[in-house]
Amino acid sequence: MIHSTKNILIVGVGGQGVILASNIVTEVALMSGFDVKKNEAHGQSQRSGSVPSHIRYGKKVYSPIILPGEADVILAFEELEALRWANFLRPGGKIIVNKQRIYPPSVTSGMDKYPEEIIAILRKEKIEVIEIDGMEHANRVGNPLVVSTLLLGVLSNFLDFPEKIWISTITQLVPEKHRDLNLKAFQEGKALLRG
Amino acid sequence: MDTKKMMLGNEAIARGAYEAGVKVVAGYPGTPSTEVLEELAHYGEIYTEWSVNEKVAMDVAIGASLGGVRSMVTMKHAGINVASDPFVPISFMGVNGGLVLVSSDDIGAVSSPTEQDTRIYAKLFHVPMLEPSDSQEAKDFTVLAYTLSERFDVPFFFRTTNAVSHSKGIVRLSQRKEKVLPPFDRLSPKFRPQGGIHPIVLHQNGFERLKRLEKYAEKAKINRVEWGDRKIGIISSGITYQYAKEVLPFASFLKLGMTYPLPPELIKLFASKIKELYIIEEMEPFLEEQIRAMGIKAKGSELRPHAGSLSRERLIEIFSGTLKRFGQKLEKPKPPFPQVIKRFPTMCSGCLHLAMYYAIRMLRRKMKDKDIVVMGDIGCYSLGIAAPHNILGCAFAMGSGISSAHGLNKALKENSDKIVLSYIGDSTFLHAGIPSLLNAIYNKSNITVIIADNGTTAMTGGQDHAGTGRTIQGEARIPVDLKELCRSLGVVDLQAVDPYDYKSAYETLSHAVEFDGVSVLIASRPCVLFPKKLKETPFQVSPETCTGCGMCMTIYCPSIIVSDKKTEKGKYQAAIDPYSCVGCSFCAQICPSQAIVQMS
Repeated sequence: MIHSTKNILIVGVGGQGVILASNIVTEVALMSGFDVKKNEAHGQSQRSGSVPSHIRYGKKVYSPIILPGEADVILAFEELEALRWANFLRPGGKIIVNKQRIYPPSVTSGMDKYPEEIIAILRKEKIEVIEIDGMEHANRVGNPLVVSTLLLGVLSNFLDFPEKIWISTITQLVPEKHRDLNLKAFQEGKALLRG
Repeated sequence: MDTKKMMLGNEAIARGAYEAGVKVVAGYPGTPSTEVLEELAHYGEIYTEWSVNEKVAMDVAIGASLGGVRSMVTMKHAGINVASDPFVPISFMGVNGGLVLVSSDDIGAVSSPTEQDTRIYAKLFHVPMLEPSDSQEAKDFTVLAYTLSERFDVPFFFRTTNAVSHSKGIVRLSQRKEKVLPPFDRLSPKFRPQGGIHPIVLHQNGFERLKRLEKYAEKAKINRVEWGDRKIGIISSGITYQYAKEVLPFASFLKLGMTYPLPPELIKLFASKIKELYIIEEMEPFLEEQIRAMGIKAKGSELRPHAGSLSRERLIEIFSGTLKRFGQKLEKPKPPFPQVIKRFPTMCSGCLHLAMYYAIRMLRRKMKDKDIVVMGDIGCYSLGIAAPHNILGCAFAMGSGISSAHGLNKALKENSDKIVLSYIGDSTFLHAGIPSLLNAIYNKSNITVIIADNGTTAMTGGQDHAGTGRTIQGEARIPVDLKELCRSLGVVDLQAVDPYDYKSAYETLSHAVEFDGVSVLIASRPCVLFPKKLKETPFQVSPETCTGCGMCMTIYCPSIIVSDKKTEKGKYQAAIDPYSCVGCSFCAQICPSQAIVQMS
């Protein structure tokens, strides 16, 4: 279906910072003058469950929930979660995949196998995958804790928000002592796609 | 200045209560309602409390309303079942300060043992009901509910669903306005149903009040018609209005903000101008039955499932013919990738429930000729019903584990091979377990009750309760002493155990099940997540000693994993993830080869 509404799905595992990242995106959308809605799964986030956060913005947004085949961009903090939610992409949509694996207990206890070659599976379906080794880049910035801000920097290349609003929102929403580090991580992530 | 903020539906309800000048709010945590009260606790002007249970919370809000202040009570759908007792009389007696009951329905039972449509209570209570469809409405309707509650002298039922409560949207903020209300008058006959006005008169008054509210509903701005193509008309409310509006943007809509009582004239007028009329709602045909009773023909529940949420995806399927007629191209959405594996929520590393489950599992193994039945309750430990734990027989309602274990014990013969246990958390025990335990003792039950005391209400995110020694505002209180409490109820065989001390916990449990009468085991260890994340030096598996026997794997601790290293006999060895291991030492006590040691 064709909508003027833009759909961003941020997915990951409980504890990875999906909720804070999606709060930043919705705040940036609000400050950029859009109508915006967001839906998030509560209750599972503390217990290593799959955490999807749906963000929709545009002139007027009705439903807060994205359907399969509608997402313009998916930002996946973890590889298995990228695969789980990839069918939510619209034709021509893009998926940013952070190269990190978090094994579910069914895998660590030997009952399940973690799928191999996730990026290749997605590319085989002609999906445009942007692969990011978030941890490596975050370490270069100086702290592995800024992975999520770095990934937001990558994501910002696909959204319609002015850079100065991103910067003012991050400044406002992250703790003061980590502010400069987060801003640096955002710029680093943004620059990764400039080529 | 026009201040706009992104807010969850629940945060917006809290903001609405703040702006309406509400002064007293009580509630009991329950997904998806919890954030309403948590948010309200941040406003210094408002008294907030986590009450012991929903009925008590309801009573607190009633008392505050009688006392002449605006009050609110918050709970999840199942909580209304508990709170319904005082709600029936208060709805007839009326209010002094505005009184609003917020219920959030967990449609799809995402974090509940059952789903239910609480809208039906509005009819039973004879009270008006408002249903917001987004965060802005959640705030605006809350403010409106207080004005109307006082104007019509009736408590208001404010019903949301998880998709509204847990979605964020833009909310325009206003200032708080406190209203001066008449003070409490103990001689007012309206507050004395037995001494003042006869209950039959009050009941009759309830019906007449609904008639007056019906007149209000006819003209209310929150019930609005949005004309579009008149070939197709939709009557809807709440989140399903948002879904339908997106699926059928060209249609005409009657959007109901007040869903009880309904405005018959407005509905008849709308229906008379529409060729094909649909009623779009989730779960029970609540609007549909009332609208059909008005003699109006409409399609509704025959097109949809009665259970679970009515998603936008489902609406697209239902209206596929109409959408094609309106020239929309429908593509079948892609199914999920078949290689995906599930990621279930897990019990935490170091959780006391994993330790107690292990003790129960070992007892089952030892008493092979007996069948150990464990009646569960509501909390994180409800996960113990499912694989791989398979510990609990069932878990259905707060506090019901103890009382149903007692009933089960009475049903089974004296020389039965069944041993009946009950497993309950501390918050749930204080909520509804106390009367259940008293009943079991007084009526000579023969059961063993395990009170798993983790010092918080963990499942809903770590709320305080009467046993934690803190209030929602962080003030210190004297916590209830579970041991003394049980003793005063008449428990004779009472033991306190440390779940992390496996040998002692197992032996105490073995003795308790042999006791003729009610045994209570209070197993205390703080939750590893709340009030603060616990982390001690992690443990590790020594590859030289691990025989790959797999004993530690049967704790089902998420930190214990199968490594890729094999023993000489070809068995896979265990390993421990040092990042998630909280260092509880339980697995080290279990390992028969002493292969698990704390990292230096």
